[in-house]
Amino acid sequence: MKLCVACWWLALTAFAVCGLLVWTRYFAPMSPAFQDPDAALDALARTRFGLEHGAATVRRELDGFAPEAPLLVFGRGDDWTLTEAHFLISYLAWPHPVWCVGMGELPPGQKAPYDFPPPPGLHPAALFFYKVNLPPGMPVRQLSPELAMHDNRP
Amino acid sequence: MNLLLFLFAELGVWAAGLGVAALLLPARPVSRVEWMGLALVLGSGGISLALFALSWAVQGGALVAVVAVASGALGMFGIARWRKVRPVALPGGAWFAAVLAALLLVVGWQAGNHPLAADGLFNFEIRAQLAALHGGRVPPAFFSDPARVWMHPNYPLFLPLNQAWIYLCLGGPNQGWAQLLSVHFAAGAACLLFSGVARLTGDAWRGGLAVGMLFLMPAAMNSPGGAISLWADFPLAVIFLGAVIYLVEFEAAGSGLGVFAVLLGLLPWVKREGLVLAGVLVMALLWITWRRGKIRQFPAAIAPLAIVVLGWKIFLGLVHVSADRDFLPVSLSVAFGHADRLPFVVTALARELFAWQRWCLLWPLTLVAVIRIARDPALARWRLIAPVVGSLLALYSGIYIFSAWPSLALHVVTSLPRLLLPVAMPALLAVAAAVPRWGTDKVTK
Repeated sequence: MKLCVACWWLALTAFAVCGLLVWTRYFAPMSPAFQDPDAALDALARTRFGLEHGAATVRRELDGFAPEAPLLVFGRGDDWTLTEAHFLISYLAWPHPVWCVGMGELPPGQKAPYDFPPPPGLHPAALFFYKVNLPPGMPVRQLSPELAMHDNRP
Repeated sequence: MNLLLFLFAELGVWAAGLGVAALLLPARPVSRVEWMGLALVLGSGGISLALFALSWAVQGGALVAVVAVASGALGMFGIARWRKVRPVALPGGAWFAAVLAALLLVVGWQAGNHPLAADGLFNFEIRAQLAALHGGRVPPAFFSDPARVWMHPNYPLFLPLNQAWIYLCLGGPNQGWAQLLSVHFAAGAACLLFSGVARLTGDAWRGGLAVGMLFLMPAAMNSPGGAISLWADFPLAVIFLGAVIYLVEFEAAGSGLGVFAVLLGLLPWVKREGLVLAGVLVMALLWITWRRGKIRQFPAAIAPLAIVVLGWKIFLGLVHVSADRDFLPVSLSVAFGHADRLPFVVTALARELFAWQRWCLLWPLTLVAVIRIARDPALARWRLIAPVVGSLLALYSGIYIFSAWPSLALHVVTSLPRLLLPVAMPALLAVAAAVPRWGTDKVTK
């Protein structure tokens, strides 16, 4: 019985050690960012686009567009970070419908895993280019090293 | 200023919860810790449902005023009941409160250092942001927008409306302050776990052990879906934990059915998977009420669940929600056609249960605990945990047969660990109840 009890408490100690090991790797000692209203959006824009104050920047760029105007994001269809780039722009662009086209070479018949293509016949008011080469001669605003925008309005 | 407004928002939730808890409390001595845990959890449910229902009639400052007055009235009722009933002090309650305060400080600090991301941002917080910008109501256009189907418009609004309540009180969206809701749910979980285990085992140290395991377990705290990430998985786990505790109490002592019924009803209001959790608990309740000759209590106990499920379904129909693309239609032909996925899913589940980086040793310990509970008559009240955990593991494995993701592996890897978080709560209960007392042959009360 005593052996059984000892095994239980040994296992519980191992439980605690495992938990503490993960906590020590996770723990971030800096000051919390409670005062930033766009804390999460800015952090993601910094990570994905290399863009400081990304939430305000993207919102500002879209200020003059009609709310119902659709937008299109281009990126590499086999790059999972395209999903986050698309989601982030879609979040910031509400209520604009935002679609995403994955580019790059894929085997015939295979769909890009990380895009969200628009229905046929869409005429986007603006194009965003995320980590892809820009079409030659297209006038764009380079918002950050990873993100460029083209105003496609007539 | 923001700190004061945040505290005002939290006070509103707590007051509402205090009143709702006072209405539902079982006829037995209730501890302060239990009452506090129920106030935090039921308050979140009450505030989110009140915002959802009232925002169609009033918006903005008027909505905040109406909800605050209603919360205040419930709070007054709760305090009056508190004075009348006089909550009892749990042994070790003061120690628990001191340690919990320190743990919550760490959780809050880390929540401020780990901004919302992924599902927490794109599936939940965006609804809060939209609700706050539209006077407290998520605009109907959101639910039918075909360009935002990936935001799962059919997900319920428990967490987003709790965040929206903070935003409305602050005067606008603020993701930094919203992140502090992590502390709210962590506190609710700790209070329910400590009071529930201490009450049902008669040993306060077992309650402390369960809370310690909860805060040390990465899946519950710092993994995606854990308390700090502020996705809906942890709040769902907290409410499921409460429901299981009161179901165990109902089986053992015949009390607690009112609290159980309300927590059961909240499950599908937090996340779609809550319906699976609720389904398993409904089966367990049916069995218990039938065995105890109290089957007449069954329909009343599942009424809140039925109201929430039907209400949400009607709402989704009214706003013409866009179809979800995560799962294929559930049918026998699809099940047989994709049955070859099962070995992969079962292997992934087995691997996940041994992933110490997320679960420490929870699942192996649970297996030992379940065996001990089955063999020891003194632990009979905990025997319903094994079928609950087992059937949930089986159901969650089976659900991937209907996955519509192009990559089944990606679907499993990104969602299975989070699906298991609510299941881990009864597992924690089983371990805390079954662990033998150190230094004596007496196993448990």
